[in-house]
Amino acid sequence: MITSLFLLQLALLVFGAVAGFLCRRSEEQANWAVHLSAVFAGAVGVIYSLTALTGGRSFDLGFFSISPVGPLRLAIDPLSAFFVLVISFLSTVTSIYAIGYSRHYQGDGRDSRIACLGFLYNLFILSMILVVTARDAFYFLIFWEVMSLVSYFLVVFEHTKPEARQAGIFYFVMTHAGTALIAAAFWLLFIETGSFSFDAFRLHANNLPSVVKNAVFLCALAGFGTKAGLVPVHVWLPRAHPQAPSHVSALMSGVMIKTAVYALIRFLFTFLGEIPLWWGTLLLTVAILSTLFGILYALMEHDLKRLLAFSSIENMGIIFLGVGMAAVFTSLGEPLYAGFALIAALYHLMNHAFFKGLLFLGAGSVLSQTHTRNMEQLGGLIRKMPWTAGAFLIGCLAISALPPMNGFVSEWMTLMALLAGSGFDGEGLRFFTPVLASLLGFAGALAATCFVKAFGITFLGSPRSSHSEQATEASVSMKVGLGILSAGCVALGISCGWMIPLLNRAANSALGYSDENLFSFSRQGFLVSPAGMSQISPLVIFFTLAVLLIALVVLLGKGVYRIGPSWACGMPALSPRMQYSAIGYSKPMRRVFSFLYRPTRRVEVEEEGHDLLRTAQRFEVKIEPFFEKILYRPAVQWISRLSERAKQIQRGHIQLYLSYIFITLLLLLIFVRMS
Amino acid sequence: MSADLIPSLIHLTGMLLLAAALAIIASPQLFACIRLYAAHSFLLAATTILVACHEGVTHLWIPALLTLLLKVIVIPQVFFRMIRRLGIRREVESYINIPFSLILAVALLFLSFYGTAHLPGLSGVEEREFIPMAAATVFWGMLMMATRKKALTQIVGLLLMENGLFLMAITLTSGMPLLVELGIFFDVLVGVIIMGVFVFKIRDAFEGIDVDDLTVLKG
Repeated sequence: MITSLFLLQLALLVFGAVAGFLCRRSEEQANWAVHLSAVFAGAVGVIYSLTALTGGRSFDLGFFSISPVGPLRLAIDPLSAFFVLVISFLSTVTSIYAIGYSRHYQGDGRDSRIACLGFLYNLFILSMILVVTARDAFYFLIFWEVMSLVSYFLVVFEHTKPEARQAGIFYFVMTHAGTALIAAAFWLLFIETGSFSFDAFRLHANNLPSVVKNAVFLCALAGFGTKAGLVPVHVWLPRAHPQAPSHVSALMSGVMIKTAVYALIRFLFTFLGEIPLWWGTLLLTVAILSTLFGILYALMEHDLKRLLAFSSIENMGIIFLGVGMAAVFTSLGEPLYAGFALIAALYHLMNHAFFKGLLFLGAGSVLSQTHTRNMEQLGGLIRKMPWTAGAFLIGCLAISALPPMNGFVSEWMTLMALLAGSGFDGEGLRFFTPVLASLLGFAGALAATCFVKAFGITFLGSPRSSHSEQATEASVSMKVGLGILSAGCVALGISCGWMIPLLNRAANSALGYSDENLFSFSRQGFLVSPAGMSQISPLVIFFTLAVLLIALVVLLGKGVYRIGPSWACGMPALSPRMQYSAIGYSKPMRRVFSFLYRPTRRVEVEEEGHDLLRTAQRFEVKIEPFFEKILYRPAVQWISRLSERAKQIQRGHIQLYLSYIFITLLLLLIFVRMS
Repeated sequence: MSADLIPSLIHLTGMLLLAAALAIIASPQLFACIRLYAAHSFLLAATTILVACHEGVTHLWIPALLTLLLKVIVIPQVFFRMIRRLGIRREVESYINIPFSLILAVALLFLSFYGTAHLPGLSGVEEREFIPMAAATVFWGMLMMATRKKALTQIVGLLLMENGLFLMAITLTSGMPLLVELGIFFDVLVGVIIMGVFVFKIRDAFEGIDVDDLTVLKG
């Protein structure tokens, strides 16, 4: 049954891709057609992937068996099923949301922008599903490339904006550099095994020479790390993600960058056999750098969607902390701990898809109503858009890892996995893993600071511009999308005791363990760390908090508070410009981390003759992009110098080009004759 | 008719083909150039017919007749019309002067004999002789394309290359399948027409058909 459901999902996505072009009459119809078929495709995907994950069912399909590179094999095992589940669920929700959100792309019916958007959008989901189900390196690369190209076109979808085009170029170049490295990794494996099939890679995993193994690992880490947005190859992510339409940003940050995690898990635990300890250490180093830099740059950001994009880098770092610990424990020969760490990573991956999807959709609602992403122009939206604000708040709580939300559970598990590493010897594990754990806690605190800013400046206070003053609540489909994800964030938090068994299967199959009941990290709604070091129940926390909240309301009643102007400080009237601003809020952080940010500030004062009679004042502060300065600018300069030199042979004379061909031919002829 | 009349006639046309090709390179006049191309094509058709008689391959008559029709009559006429309508100068303009072109051409002839001397799988005197000759014709066509300034003479160079390839195909394989031959003829005709349109477009855009003007197109 799941085979036919899988094919049904693919068919629905293909139909959705072309549906927009069939409804030429009405953009409204096209909008419904493309997004509804994506909704159904997503729902079908959720059904069969859940069946596969709970029932341990799988399928294995082969197509085009006569093609020269071998048949196209699509198969699902628990790990693939888990990724299909995440992709399908999030795409269902974003498609519901997109019905309302895409309305502002509806034009006069001639330019068929909706049809184009629907085509790219459905193809994007389709390519992600195929990436995680392909069982052959050749087709994997094709689907990977389709995914990259389609997402590039989605990034430049609003191509009339110069910054979208610029971000697109950035993304295009970096993602292709990454793909080249991935192709190199697969090519090395192909040379060693003589086959493109994943099964062949798995069978030869233990016969690989260690030089090749290290080369494959480094290529794969750099290639997939580029897609995952790991520091220092993250620079495309904060540029590209905000430029796409918001529901696409949600998918890109929520699931597209996760396909890199999927691929890297396959490489680490399936294709490469025994893992040296230093791989895990390298992964942990990259991960903690991403966590810290991601959140530090998010703190300084005043563009709502860019802030979310930087925070995606942080969360990818957290996921990779889990993956890194799983690699470390595998090389130490501790399957129980490795499973726990990998489950932590997968759980955080799913949670991040939920809350980052929610936050991007929320930011999209704000953007569609106020037409600005700049937080300094927003404010007071909680009164205009209460539903959006509520959903956004839940997302902020989840991403700040506050109980009983889902982010808390997975970050707790990651923390436990890191702390468990202190019990082992080798490469300074005993010392460094607790340091990493404390840095993770620090990053969590910074994330909370960051999202207090994001929520407070955007939704609280009074409107800072006419944009936010005239905002109204988003449309029904957008509210439904936000509602589902908010409920999901809470549900994934309190139901973790029931989610863990599902993840067990995925982690089991990823690590290649055959014992079904190896891991039991949940006991009656409680989450238990391996060896019973500590346990926790978000469900209990949830009910305790709920009881406390009810008790507070009942005990204190309504009489104790009164409504008055906030932060008035005795002034008779407050103007919106007197409010706390995002720049002001992040000032302490800018001072503490000035060694990293190197902020430059500029104050312009207009005055009328006297120092105190100021008519206008402008304040501007800029932080220095560290990685751009030390890595990317030199690289770009070097490449442009090189291409200047290569330009010498390009004179534009047609005869010269003909002579190049002619001389090459003659030299080849002589070469053949001589040899 | 003695038995070795036809082989010796094939030798003769081979020599004449080489001479005609050299004459194309040497001629300073555009009209002469095109007439010599027509002569070269006529000799090619004659060679084809002789090969057809010698090997007894009847379907070679069709490419031979098509060569006569297209390359001896139609394409030269297209060229003459083009020259009249463009009103261009009748002299051939080259980056290197004609004596030096001839020296290069001879060097290329030696190179083609040297390059193809020990190709495996060749039997028969005709093949051993015609392969280097055909290769030399191709090289000379390339030489014309690489050294001439005007688009029209470059097209003549391209057509000369095509004649060289045709010669190689005829003598080496006693003719390719008919369908392929027909396809090639069609390609040549369409190619000439397209390049003619292209030349007019260059004239319109740059007020001249000097391909040097195309340098402004580069980035």
